Amino acid sequence: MACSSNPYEHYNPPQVEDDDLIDPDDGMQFSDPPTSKNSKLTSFTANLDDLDDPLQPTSSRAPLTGNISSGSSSRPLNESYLTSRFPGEDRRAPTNTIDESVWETLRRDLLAVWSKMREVLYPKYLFGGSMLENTTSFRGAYENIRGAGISGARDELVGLAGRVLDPDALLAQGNMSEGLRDWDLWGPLIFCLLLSLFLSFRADKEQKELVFSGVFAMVWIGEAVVTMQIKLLGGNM
Amino acid sequence: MSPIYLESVIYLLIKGNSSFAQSVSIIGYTLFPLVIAALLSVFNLPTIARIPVYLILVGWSLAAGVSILGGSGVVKNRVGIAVYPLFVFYLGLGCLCFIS
Repeated sequence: MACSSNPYEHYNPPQVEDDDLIDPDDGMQFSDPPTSKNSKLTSFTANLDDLDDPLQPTSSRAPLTGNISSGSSSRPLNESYLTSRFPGEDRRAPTNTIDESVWETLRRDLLAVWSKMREVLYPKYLFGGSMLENTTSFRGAYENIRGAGISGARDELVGLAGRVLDPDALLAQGNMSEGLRDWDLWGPLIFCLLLSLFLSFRADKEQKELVFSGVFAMVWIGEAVVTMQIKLLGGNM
Repeated sequence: MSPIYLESVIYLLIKGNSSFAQSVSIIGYTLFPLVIAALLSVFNLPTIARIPVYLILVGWSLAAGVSILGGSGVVKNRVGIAVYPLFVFYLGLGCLCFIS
């Protein structure tokens, strides 16, 4: 992780010695009478031969390219499949997916769909009472209910019925978590395809295509209409 | 009246493209209980057993959708209007699962 955080870590700044620099005063000194400058002139022509030829790979640049290629190839894959390595980037972008198998790439997307599904399908608002707070899963809620006993469960049900009819509490809390802001459309596509497939199984033989396409279109148009309604009513997510 | 509506729709689409896709993504994820309902329909659940099970599944979808989208900054006395199309959407798909 430390070696991949800064890709220019192994960059060697070019070492320039004082002898390789071309002093503009040396050029100006050619017009001088060459009495005492002969030694300076010979050293200057020798320095011209020592300058780097851009067509030939020289010793000062060879380790630079070697370091870059070895640094990028030794970068470990799949350290955290959902969080991007560099903050502010897409979670799919910085990972090098060309070297891994297709199943690895597919598995990362499927795991992202699964974690987002767990996050969406647990209704935190309805179950967000005093007894069930600080829980993020059904198992944690079940443990809390077992700890509180029957009277606690009854209080919780009363509170749940009260929260259904209370829009102020619904508006007060921030509902969108960080994982949901990283949206994707793979999960909706999978669920929509499964729903239309299952519904078209039981249809009549000559109506199967109609049911499939109808349910598919209905789901997407319905999602667009519901989103439009919320946004036109002033919702900002 | 309808050109005004269309224009505002286009404006919202251009302005907040990311949050539009976010909301579509969340509503799509909440379809999962209805997928379970459709799967039960494939296995030919009896009609008497369908009524409570499908009501619970539609209620689950609605609770998940409302708890995320319902409070997303809508003006306070319009929460019912914002939630109502969501309710119609889930109920319609639930009825389709019921009769299939």
